[in-house]
Amino acid sequence: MRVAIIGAGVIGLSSALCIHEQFHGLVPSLELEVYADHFTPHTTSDGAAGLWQPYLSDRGNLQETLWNKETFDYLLGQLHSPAAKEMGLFLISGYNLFTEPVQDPSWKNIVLGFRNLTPKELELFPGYSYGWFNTALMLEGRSYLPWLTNRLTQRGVKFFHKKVESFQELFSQGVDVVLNCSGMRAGHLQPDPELQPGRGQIIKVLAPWVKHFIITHDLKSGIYNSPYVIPGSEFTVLGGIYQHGNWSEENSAKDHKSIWDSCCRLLPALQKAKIVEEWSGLRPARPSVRLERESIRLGNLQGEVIHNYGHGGFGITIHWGCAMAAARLFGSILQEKKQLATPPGPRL
Amino acid sequence: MASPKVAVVGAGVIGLSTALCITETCPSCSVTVLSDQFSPNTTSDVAAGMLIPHTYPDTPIHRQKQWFKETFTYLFAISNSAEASEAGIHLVSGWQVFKSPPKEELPFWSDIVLGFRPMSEAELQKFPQHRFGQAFTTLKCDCPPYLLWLEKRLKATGTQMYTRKVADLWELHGEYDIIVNCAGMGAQQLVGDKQLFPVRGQVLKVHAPWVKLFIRDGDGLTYIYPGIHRVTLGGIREKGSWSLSPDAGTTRDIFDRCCSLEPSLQGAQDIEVKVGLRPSRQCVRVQREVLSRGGVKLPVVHNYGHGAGGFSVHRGTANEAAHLVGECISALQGSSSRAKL
Repeated sequence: MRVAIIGAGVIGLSSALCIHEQFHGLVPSLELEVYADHFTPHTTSDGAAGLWQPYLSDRGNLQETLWNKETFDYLLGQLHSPAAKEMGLFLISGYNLFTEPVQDPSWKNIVLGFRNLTPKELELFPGYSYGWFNTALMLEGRSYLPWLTNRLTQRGVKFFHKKVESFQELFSQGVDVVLNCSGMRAGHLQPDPELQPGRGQIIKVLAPWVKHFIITHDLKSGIYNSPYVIPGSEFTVLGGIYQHGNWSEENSAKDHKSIWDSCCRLLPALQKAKIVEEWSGLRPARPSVRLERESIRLGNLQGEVIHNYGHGGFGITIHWGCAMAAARLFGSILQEKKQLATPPGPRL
Repeated sequence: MASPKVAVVGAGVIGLSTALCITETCPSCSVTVLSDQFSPNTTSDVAAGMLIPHTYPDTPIHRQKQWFKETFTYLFAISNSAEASEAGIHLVSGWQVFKSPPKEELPFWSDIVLGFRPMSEAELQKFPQHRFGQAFTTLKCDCPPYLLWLEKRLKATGTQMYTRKVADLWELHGEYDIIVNCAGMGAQQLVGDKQLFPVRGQVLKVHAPWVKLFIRDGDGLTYIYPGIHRVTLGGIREKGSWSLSPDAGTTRDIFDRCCSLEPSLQGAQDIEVKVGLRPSRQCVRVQREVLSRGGVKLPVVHNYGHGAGGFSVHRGTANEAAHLVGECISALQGSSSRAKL
């Protein structure tokens, strides 16, 4: 049973690990292969700050809220394990700021210690009159992706540095199931007008005195178009750009100025921070995550595809819930192929 | 008295902040700081600098609260300014956890720190050995940065600073009009205060930059305080010990206790062990005194004995000491004009 995973970002690697963990003992012939043209540290996931936080609104996708919760609970459970440091996993507290009162988010009971900000706390943020404080998790891509890669390599999963041009390409080589975790470029494998880039740009600085994340919101301009500051274990990420439909991965001077000026207004001490790096990436945005099975038939070629893409700016936040869901879909494929239902005993 | 000459003995957080307050309240004063140690070799440099007050048994609570409030307000403004990183002042959130119910549900400082509330059940699950907890956000003064920033502010006012061991306050008579005694543990010898005693502390300063939250056991003995570059792990309280040598067994014990609160500390690197003697007293001595010897008078303002709570109340006591210096000046001016009659 050959399974090919397209994409080596957080979605591809975690889906691969989840499937291997659950099924390698049950399916002796299981072979997993990861195909990607970009590996860490050059994936979209590597550019993300790594903060666990869903969007403000669940957009009506209750399933996504459940996947977010599964991810948070899973990571919280890993916090005390010896692997936590290597995974890039740690607790972090911080602020969400608004210019007007807003409804509590779907994730208020998922995070720890969610509460409204007090008037004295709001004094720290002139221009903002309402906000939340909570403790959440950081999962840094530049640690998590190598950790996932190591776990997969230890388990005998093979990696191929290759740009897959079509599902058929893999089926014709004898792959039985494809996990499509191709993120932003899923449209190259199968057109999907609902998948659009949500371009982001960030500035990485050295500001080790910042211990809280600060996410501001401008309800009129939409998510991530308002300054945010997210301290990592080594660098602090400054951001606040979300450009729907913009495919450019070039850093823009205008966006740089906008991020820098707005973040320094938010935290005056940032003016003294040293800039280390600048980066742009494309959030694979979609009205809802595409997580479903599809049977592909072309001539006499046939195969199963499990799509798992379109996680926008919340890939890290939702990844494990989606990986488990993808593993369940894989389980149902195995049942249909009678790989799981076969009782032990000699094969005829 | 045109330009009163004030000597501040001591260059820890108390000495430097008191000197600064004096330059602010009495711009005509000429202030000099004298100390045998400057940063990074003061007791203050060992401390984590967390704004979580220590309760002094014999100082009225309202006075302690006033000191803390003034200090918190002062540092809050700096943390919010462009100078925050240079001054080493930053906000930090975290938890204080208790194995048995705390003596007071609401400590006197709970309305001064930010967002004080009981920990939720979910948060307490992270601490299986603890049953109660408080969550809040407070400030941390990283040393040496904070002391160096105070020194810089002082130099800008023209304050001179000299390395000098003062063995007797009377040494300074003639050179200075008013002496401010911020000698910390040194006050025991300097002014013979037998109510002052050392409480030896030991801490580990480690590299663990993923630790963003503080954790403190309510018993005050085990704590994890993330600073700008290092995390301070503590601690110990050995009353009456004068030893400044690190103890290996204590180091192991502190590390184990902290790892049990925060397992990821097992991966901490670059462990630096430091020892300091908390200059402890039943009440902080912020007081005026006029020393007298053979008809000669020497006005002294004391500001020492802050024990485990120096950073938490430093600015408040510095303000009070500066006010007392003002009283000394008025008294001197009063007596000098009387002398002219």
